[in-house]
Amino acid sequence: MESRPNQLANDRILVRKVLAGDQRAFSQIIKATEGLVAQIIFKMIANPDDRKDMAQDVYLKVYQQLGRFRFQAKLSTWIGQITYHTCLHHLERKKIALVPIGDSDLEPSPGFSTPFENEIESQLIREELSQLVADAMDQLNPIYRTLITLYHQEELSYSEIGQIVQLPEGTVKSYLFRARKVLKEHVLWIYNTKIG
Amino acid sequence: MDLQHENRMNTTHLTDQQLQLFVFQQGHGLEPWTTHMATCKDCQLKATLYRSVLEEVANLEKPVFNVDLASQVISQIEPAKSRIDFSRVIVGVTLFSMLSWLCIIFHWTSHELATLFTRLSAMATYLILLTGSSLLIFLVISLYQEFQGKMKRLTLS
Ligand SMILES: [Zn+2]
Repeated sequence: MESRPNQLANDRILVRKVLAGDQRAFSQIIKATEGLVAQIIFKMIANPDDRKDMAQDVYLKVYQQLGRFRFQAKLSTWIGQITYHTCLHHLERKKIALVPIGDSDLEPSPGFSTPFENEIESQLIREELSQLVADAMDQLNPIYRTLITLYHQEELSYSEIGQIVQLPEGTVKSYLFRARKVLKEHVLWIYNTKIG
Repeated sequence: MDLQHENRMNTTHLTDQQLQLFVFQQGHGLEPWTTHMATCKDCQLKATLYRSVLEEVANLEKPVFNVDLASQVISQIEPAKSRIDFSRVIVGVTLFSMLSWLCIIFHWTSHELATLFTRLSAMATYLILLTGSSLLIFLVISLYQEFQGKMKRLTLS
């Protein structure tokens, strides 16, 4: 992991090269950031056919707006911000609901059993947990899914996530709190449906 | 009822938010909950569930585009640039040919031009100049608007 001043200096050199017409430098930017862009797009856009077009759209926007980038954040964070808002715009245009209907429907009922309650179940759940969590993530709404991924998988800070989704850090924290709670409830729900 | 069980009953369980803070933000200000967490099986179970679920999230396979995104994007940038250059070439060639044409006409008729204006009445000269300059202004404006429109479409496409 590069230190922040080094990262910023690198960003400046790359951006200057692209603005001078060096397309290899832009290719370098794409290769360095496509992981993060893929994470956001895959978590926000359910239709696989739309994802590749969305990624191309994002990088064409980045190319056109690069001259306006003022290094107020890391280049990757800025590209993440463009990606997130391109996806958001796409979902709004297609009238896809961003906030799930009835999160509370999943509140575990008193009879629900919790994974890890006893040793046998614990063994079982550890083997199945990966699939269980993947399924639960799929059921989460796009915004919660993205926030959880950015924090727990991409290991971005609250401040960086705040810059990407353009929300204050405090709001990101409370969204993440809610997102983890809903994810845990989805896991419990799927687990209890499976064990019948 | 044993003593440990009684103690547990007397302390309140951690709320969902407190559990998350305990699991994901270990460090400052969490000491008041540590004692309860050490003894309460209920809260330990919930904390384990949170920790395990989010550890699994961290280990999920990361998505990748199974295409060479960089070269696909670069290939879309190149034609856009050459198309802009092409339109500039057209404008340049048109201007150049118009200027050359004017020069040729001026060269052919220069010996008659001197007498052209002296033979016309003042009224006719003004009319010709007025009509000519208005046409030229309209032409320039419409050419410029058309050019701007094309540039806008190219930038958006
Ligand atoms: Zn407790």
